[in-house]
Amino acid sequence: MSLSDPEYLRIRKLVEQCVRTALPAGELLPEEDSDWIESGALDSMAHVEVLLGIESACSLPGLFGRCGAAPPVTTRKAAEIVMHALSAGIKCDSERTESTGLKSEAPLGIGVFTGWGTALGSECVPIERVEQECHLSTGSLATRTGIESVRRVSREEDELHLAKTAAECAFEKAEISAESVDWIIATSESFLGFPSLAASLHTALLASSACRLLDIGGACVGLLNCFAVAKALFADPGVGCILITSVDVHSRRLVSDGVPAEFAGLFGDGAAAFVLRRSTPMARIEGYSIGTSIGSCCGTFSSALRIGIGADTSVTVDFDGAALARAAADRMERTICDLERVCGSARESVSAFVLHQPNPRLVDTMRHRANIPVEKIPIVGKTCGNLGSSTCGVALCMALDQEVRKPRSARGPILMAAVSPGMLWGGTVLN
Amino acid sequence: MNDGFCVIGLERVAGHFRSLRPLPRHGYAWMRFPYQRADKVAFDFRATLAVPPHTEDRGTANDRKVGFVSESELVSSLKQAEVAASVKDMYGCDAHMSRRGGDAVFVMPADAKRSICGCEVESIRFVFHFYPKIRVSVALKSGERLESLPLVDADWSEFIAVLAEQVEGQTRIRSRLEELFGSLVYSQIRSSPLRFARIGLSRPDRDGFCWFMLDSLFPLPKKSWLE
Repeated sequence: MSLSDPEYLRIRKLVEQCVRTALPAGELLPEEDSDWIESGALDSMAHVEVLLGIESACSLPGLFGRCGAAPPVTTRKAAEIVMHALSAGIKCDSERTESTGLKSEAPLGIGVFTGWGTALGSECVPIERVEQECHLSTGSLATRTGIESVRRVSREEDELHLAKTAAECAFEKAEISAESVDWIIATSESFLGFPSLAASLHTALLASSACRLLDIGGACVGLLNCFAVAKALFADPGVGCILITSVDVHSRRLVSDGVPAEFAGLFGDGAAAFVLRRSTPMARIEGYSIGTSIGSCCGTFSSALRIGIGADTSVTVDFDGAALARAAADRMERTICDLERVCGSARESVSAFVLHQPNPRLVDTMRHRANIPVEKIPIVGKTCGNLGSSTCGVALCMALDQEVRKPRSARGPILMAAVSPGMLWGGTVLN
Repeated sequence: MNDGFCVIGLERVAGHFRSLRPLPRHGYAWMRFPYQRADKVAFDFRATLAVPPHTEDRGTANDRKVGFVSESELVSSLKQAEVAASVKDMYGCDAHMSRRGGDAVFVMPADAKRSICGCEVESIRFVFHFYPKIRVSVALKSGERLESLPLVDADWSEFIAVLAEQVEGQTRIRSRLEELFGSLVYSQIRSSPLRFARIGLSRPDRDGFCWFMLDSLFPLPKKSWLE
């Protein structure tokens, strides 16, 4: 390894980015061999945080705990450990491939987005009317959140109706029928009964009897969880096509006395669906595919939003709006930074940021903090309200519609980030 | 989190207890503190300007031991002092997540009403990943979690240091400590009726952040657990 090795330089830059997060604005980075602690660049607290940040950025959790020696205190040492681990990891993978006979002619498959569609509640309710219905003062929701209207289902519509409509749009775009689907993966925070949403959708779409079903939780992160699972399922060579659907009808669920009006008024009803078809890494892929995903749960902030369902199916909500907004903005910003590091693409090269949108004001805050141009964020919340698990889905459909018009060479990655009660968080890169 | 001992005591106030932090003549930490945990120590108080959130700071002089209490008496007294069921209630303000990549949390000094608080602990995990620095994850009864708390409890730190000295080979220390805690220590904590933690706030760092730390964990570690 030489100091001019491009890989070493890339990793050193990444280490420096992590160190910079702990330095006061304008302070110079410590020299490559300068001891972070002795030089006063980092204190004990920051040292550990920076090391955790490096591990996270390199997708090498636990790295510095495995390296044997004391945790690194210089940029060079940290970069060397990362570099060594990455090269050793590649070696390990190739050894495993040989020993387990995975060196097959056909490389592992990946899922490519070939179809997508949305379905929104057919009623568009101005926020002024929502405020009246909720007995809130005029302008309270509009001013505080920036929401102009919310979408609500009509009497005839429900989760299944919206999900089916979105799925049919996706099939049409993908030019396939429901019979081609090997897996239906569904997520919803409002559909609580059995048969489950995936099962109900399987029946409604007349999917094949060989099609398998999976319901996935995660609320507003649910769609990202679906993508992570779909990506893994494509490792099975028998899987050729997956339908992913998200849907929520909040207007029927958040009507209990236990739900604060200023909370219930933020939500809308909608669905999104995606068809992913198998391709191979070697193939010249025209569509987007699911890349790296990250996520976990930040339980420190779990009490900022708690939603319970009583024995009589009434919903109770306990939420601290200010704390929730701040924690969500912090976590989303960090998820974007982590995704940027993980995928190796600077945010300037990203085509679209598909973000969960509790409300437009919060999106604006996140946008400014993350320095993202407004045109790169498909806005859903302003006219639809918070669509829960489908906010990211509807925004992604908007982004894909936009990107598909561009020549392949002009498309950058799409970054998705979401948070939900828990505080669950997730991020996915679409390449 | 500098060198020395940060000492926290309790004083009785109208039927319950209140935390106070006796300060040495200079600085915040005692370089030498010749008493044990659960000792009763008397001080003469000097006028001090306590800066929020470290409102418990008290300048002291003329310290002397006047008795001691048992561990269970100590925990019982701590439970009558500052306690909270949620992260927000610990210091009367919202916690913020680290902006540096880790999972540690901090508060802004101007927001926090105090700098020490007790809490019921559901479960706990020591992280030896960055040994000799030790971090702790705590699940609270409230369902919330506190991650990456620096361990500043002197008894637990010493217990771990003694354990680490017995491990052959520096490269095995972390994994061996994890094994020992997994097989011998966690079960003792889980089964103890004294299980309780006190979470403190660090002095503001140069960014002005006061980080959560694990000040005290009960039960206190016992050599007998290792026998």
